[in-house]
Amino acid sequence: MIIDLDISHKQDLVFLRSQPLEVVNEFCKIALEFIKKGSNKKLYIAASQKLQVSPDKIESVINAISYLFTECSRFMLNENDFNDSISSLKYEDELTESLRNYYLEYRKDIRNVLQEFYPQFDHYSNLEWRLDVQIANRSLSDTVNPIYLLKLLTKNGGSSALKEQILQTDPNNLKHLCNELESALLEIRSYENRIIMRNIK
Amino acid sequence: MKFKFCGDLDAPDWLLREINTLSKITNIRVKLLTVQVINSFESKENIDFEKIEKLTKDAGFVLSDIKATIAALHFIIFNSVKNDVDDGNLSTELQQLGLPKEHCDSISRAFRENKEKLRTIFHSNTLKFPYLDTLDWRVDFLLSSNTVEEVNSPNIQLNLKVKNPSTGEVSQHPFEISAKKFNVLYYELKQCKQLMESQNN
Repeated sequence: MIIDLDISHKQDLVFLRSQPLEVVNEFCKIALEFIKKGSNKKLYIAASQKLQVSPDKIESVINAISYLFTECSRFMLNENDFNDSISSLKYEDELTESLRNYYLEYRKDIRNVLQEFYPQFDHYSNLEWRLDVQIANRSLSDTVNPIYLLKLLTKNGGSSALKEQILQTDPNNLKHLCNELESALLEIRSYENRIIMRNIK
Repeated sequence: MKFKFCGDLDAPDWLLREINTLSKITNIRVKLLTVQVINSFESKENIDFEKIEKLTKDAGFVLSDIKATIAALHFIIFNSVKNDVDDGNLSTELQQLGLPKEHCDSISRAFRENKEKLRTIFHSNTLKFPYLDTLDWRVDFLLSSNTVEEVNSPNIQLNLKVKNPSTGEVSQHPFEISAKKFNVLYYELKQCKQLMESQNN
């Protein structure tokens, strides 16, 4: 598939046509740093003094290059698609090739950074359980009441703290819970889901 | 097939497959591997992987085979200790699974030597909730206050220190209680104590 660049995006990228190749490479490196760590105003001011343009122009060019790279990485464009997408900018062949090489080399890194923007849910870490039998209460003596006590530990992300939840259930409820979870696991063997799994692989 | 060391349930399919892998190593190495697994239960640290690699080097195992062997031995020892099986029974049941007799005997021997020690460790690992660490008390006699000239009543102050076993932190809960209310509390707790003692006998 090909990405259509809109007009304001193209206007920002047209600036690169007038620059020598080393400058374009510098811009690409700064754009990659921008994607990974955020903007660095000092670099823009230094670059604007060297190239005799305003820092705002530099910033918009960096943003434009970063946007181009992230959109291409997002759709996993191959070489031909990348060439076709930026063909509307009418760059020289050398410039196209240099941009393409940068894109292919750092595509994986950019995708890793983009993955971090997805909301993270808590993950299961550990479950401990204990079976107690309640024999008496302040208000009622001589009862027999089995209770399961559960300690569920969840983690959010790799190294963050463990969140602890203490839960209590009776045996019937626990049995029902297990049955529900087992039927959820069996769902994966249903006809439609098997087709989906085959297509993912 | 129902096995006692699995808690009177079926042995899981993956265990049956790993019996095959376990049979490939020599008898003595299986015993040393079992000892390593038992040591990791005691020290609560992760298993010393270098020693495991040295022991499985000659059998031509890949990383997934090594992990599978450890998982199988871990399962066998953990569940045998949990279900309090006799080591003779363990050996017979492992033979029924298809493990060669010498291997079964070496695993059972390592198990028998450490069973009591592991049972006490597992007992102390039972799920524990925040528990009472210390109880400090003080009895005061109120003389007078700004609202009433003579108060003349006894008053008790208690400080409960509760320790959370998972974080190790001790939280303090100081409060005061009037003599009448304290009598009620004392009476109820005496009832609980009687119940506990009758259960112990």
